[in-house]
Amino acid sequence: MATANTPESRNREATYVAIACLPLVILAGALVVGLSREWIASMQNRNTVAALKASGAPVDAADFYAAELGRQATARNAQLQRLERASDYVTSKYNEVFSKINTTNELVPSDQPLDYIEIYQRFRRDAEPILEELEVADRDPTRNSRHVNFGHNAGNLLSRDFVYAYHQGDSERALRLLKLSSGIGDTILASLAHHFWDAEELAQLRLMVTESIEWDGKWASSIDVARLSLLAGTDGIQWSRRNYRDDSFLTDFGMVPTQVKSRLSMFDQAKSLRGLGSRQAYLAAKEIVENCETFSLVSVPMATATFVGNNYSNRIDENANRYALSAMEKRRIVTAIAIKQFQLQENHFPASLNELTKVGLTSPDWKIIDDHDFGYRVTEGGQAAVLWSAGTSSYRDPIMWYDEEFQTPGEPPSVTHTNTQHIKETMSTIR
Amino acid sequence: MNTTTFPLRGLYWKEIRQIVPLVLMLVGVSLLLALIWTVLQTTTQSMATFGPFIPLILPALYAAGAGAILVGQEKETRTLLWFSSLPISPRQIVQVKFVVALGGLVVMWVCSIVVGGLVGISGSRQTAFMLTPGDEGFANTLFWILHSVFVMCCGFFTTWKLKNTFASLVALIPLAVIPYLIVQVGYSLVGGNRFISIEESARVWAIVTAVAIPIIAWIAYQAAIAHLAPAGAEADERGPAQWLAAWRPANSVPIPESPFRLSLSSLVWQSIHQNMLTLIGLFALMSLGTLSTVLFSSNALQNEYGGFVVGGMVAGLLAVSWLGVFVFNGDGTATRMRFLADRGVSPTLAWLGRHLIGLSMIATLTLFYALGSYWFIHTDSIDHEREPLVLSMVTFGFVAFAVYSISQWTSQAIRILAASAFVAPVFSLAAIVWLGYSATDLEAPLALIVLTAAIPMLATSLMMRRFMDDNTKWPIWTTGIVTAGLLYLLPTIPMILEVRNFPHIPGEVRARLVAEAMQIPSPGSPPQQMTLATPAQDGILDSYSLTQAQAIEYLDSQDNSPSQQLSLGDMSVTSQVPLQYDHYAFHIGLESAEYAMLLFTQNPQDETTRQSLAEWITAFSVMAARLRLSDRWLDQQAADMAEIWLTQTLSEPALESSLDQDFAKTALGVIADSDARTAHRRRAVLASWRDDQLLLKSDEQLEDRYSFGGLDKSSWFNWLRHTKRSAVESKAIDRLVAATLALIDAGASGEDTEPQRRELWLLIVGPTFPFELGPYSDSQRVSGSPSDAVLYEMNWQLPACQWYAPWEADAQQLSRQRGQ
Repeated sequence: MATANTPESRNREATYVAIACLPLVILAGALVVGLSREWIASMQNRNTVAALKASGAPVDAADFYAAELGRQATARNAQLQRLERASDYVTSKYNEVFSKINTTNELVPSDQPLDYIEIYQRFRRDAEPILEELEVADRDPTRNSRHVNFGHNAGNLLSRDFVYAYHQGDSERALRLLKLSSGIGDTILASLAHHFWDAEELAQLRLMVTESIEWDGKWASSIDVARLSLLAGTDGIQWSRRNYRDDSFLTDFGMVPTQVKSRLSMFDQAKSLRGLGSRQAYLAAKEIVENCETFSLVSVPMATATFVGNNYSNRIDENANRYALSAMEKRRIVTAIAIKQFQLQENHFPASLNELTKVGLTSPDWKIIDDHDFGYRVTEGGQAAVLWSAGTSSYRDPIMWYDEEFQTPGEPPSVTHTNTQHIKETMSTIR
Repeated sequence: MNTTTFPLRGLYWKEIRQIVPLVLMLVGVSLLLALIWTVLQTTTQSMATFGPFIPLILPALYAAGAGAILVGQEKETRTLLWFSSLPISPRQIVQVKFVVALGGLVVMWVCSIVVGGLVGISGSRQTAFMLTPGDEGFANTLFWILHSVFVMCCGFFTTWKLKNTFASLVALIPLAVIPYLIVQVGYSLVGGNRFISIEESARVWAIVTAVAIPIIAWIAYQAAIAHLAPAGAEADERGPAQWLAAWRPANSVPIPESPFRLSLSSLVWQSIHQNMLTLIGLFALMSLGTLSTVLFSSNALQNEYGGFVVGGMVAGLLAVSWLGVFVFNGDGTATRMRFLADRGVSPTLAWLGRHLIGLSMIATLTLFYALGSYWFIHTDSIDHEREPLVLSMVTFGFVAFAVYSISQWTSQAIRILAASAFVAPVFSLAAIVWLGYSATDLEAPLALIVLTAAIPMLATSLMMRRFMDDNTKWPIWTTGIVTAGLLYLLPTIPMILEVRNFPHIPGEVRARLVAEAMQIPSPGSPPQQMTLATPAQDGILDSYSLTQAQAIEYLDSQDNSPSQQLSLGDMSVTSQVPLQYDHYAFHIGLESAEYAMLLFTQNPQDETTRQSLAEWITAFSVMAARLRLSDRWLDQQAADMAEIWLTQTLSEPALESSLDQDFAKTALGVIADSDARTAHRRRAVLASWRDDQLLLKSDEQLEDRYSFGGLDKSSWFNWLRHTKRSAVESKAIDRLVAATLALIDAGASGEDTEPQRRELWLLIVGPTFPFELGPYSDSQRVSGSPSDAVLYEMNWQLPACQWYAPWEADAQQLSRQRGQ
């Protein structure tokens, strides 16, 4: 070190060394800080996981696999699976034929001819044994077919038979079919385009739709699953590689403890979210995700863990978004049914949605989001009513309109849009 | 030969002698890279992508280095001054150097095409050479060729113009990108927003480069002539002051207090002042690389300025590499080291003095990178729809350090500046790829990777004394070879140890099993593949659309009977023709049989439904019996599935009254024969193993390579990563076969099979999955009860997963009850 007696030129040289060493010292310090933070986070994660374990929450790989197998066990009710194989036989037999006769499962009222009606009759004959068995299973709480993934072909089977029942005016059978099906919203909305249901059946439909979603439990369990996936994938507290996940280069080194810690904290905050299904809950979830700090000085190879953690972080806000969309869609179906109920009761369509209070609907039920009502209009002559929302063709779209200044479109989509799929998804006609 | 006909022969000979080492070195390096590429391309996608560009490196590096060798080196050794005493005009000197350099470039292009051919780059693969006019890559290739000539001219210009060879190399980089910049600026001014294809860009680049070549060649020529012209007289002053200068006292230079002190601080000072301009140039390029790496994280910026950002990153890496080269090959470093050695300076001190500045620059930029990336991630300028991929500070710093470490080592071993300046970046790139591959595919610990990257630093430290003494080069080169060996071997050691220690069956057991497998006779009849039946009216579906009558005719033809659904050949359970499983046909049969079963259970008194089910039970009995005859392991598992279906179906209470009928007796006979089942299983396991071993020795089709007796072996052992899995697959399969045979022995003698199932679970599923929850656990074993059918279907392709499970005892029990 240069002293007061050191010549000036010597001092200058010493300054050079000091300047040269400074970045090395700071870099070493940054490394020490980074590693210390990871070590501290590792300890904290250990405590968090222990606390979660003590509270009975699933946290390790064994829990993860047990949960996975549990879901599979629910889905693989042996009797239902055998039934699904039988229904696969019937639908496979008819799939080729239906594809060649150009049917689109469009509902045709009884006063109009249904093309290829004999094919539908034969289909019903072959499908009837399966339908009967499904109803037996549906009555058995341990074999409830609607709560298992019954499979695409069985869904086809029910929707095709619904077309025939609709044309025959057999609303009782149609209701039976809907009770066995999942994803009934579109079918219900389409069935309102003609006079088909009586008042009692409409009341049953409204009940079915209202009861079909249970938010809080699903939200909590989805967060548990996300947390479990995180902990099972990275061991949560270890600085470990994710050898058993996939072969991608980017995921070879997994998450460092600080990143695991921030995500555990994110899950905690998300779990306390309330008002799910609303725009506010979605925006709150989005903020939680955006505030989740993932930057690490010493993680390898990337500074952020977003590439390994996308599934976990995005699930929170995307799930909240999906919930909000489902809630909105449910409100639209309920509102449409209520309009039909109103028409049967009053012999005319309501002039505005506010009149739906007469059939037991309350104000929040006919809102798209916040203070915005669904679009509603009675056609000239009062022959039909049109109900529309703002568009849900993909779950990304609503994120944009949630964030922007939102206004209910003044005109029905059939006036403002040419995309038939968009019109079909957002607009319902009730006669 | 008459020397008067070719008076410059001697000069040509000298120039060629000078350039040959560079040519040989570059060819050697590119062959080495091609070899690495050929070895790694099968496992690393990035290598396969990088491969086609290997030959292009060759002429590019030569073009950049030719000037430094032919002019820069002569400046350093001062042989250029000697020319002035010879009767050769400057024009001739310049002309000879240029012609020799151009000839060397032609040789390099020929070599690069040969190397391209050697690594199989031409042909069906992506190719860098598309020389046929009309090909879409023609303009691209033409640009590469013209650009190499342009870079060579730039190299001559900078080396003639600048006194310092190293600085001339640094100055070459901005000059080399001039044609590219001109085109990009031109497009941004007049191109508007229209899409510009690579082909169009390459065509314009080629034209601009072709125009730029004579311009830069002329400028280089002027610089050369100016350099070779006689120097003017030196004069401190002009005008009247010149007359007074002679009367003025001499300038007094302050005498340093201790002019010969040799502390670290003096060495650092000297490192900086030795060539500050070069260091500033390198630091500027490294800063550009750092900034580009930060910007690389932004998808938006990447899309808009992708070429500049990637170019900046490449320039940054090149600068780091040259910073390493600068340590031992900066201008006159060797001479200065010799000066220090003569004065007794410690080699360690000299080594530290040479490295401190370089390492400090890397540390500075690593810190700036950390700050920049942190700022970048936390601003709104990034596209939140696509999450940014930002290298961490540690990764950035490590890559820079590794490049520096390899480069400084190269520069100590290769003392020709122009050669080490171009070989070092190539070696560094190869080392980075290798270390990345080791860290990921070979699973080398990160600490070992860091240690490996630091070995070249240790090597130069150890060789510093010899380097300073300018002694014989052999020890340095020997150490270089040892270092290269360590760079290659060290990261592989953990993998080698793990593969070596992977448990395997004893040699004598394997030999006994091989002998047993080889003695298995071939089946008497060739196996028959089960297929779907083709109904008579199937042709109806060929038409685009159907009338209602056609549709009904087709549906009427779709009878739910085995003969209408499946084609199985001989429908006798005693047939000796083995049957081979087909997934689609088997499952269509299963679906039809389940439908027949459903109709029967809903109406057990109806003779038609009973008959339909009886036909399916008979069909599954035939399938089970004939699948058992097959030598394929897969068919044994399929036979299990058929027998399980039979056992569970015959256990249905609705069928109890029909169990005395012929179809039921036949089925009970099939499922009751446990001895035959055991014998067939053992034979199929050994035969599948034998065929797999034989297949490994021949180069069969890819899909067969993943088949083990029809089972998909690519889904096994996946708890091991790819490279390790490939290395131990043979040992693992041996263990799997041995464990399965032990399971058969235990199951046949009525013993508990759990130890063998645990071994199979450990091998196939891996240690992270709890055995108690896994497919080999008791909870997942299938019984003869109809409620268990689906459990079996989920895991039915896992080897021996359901062998000797409760369904077999239930089948025996059922048969015994019926007197079979």
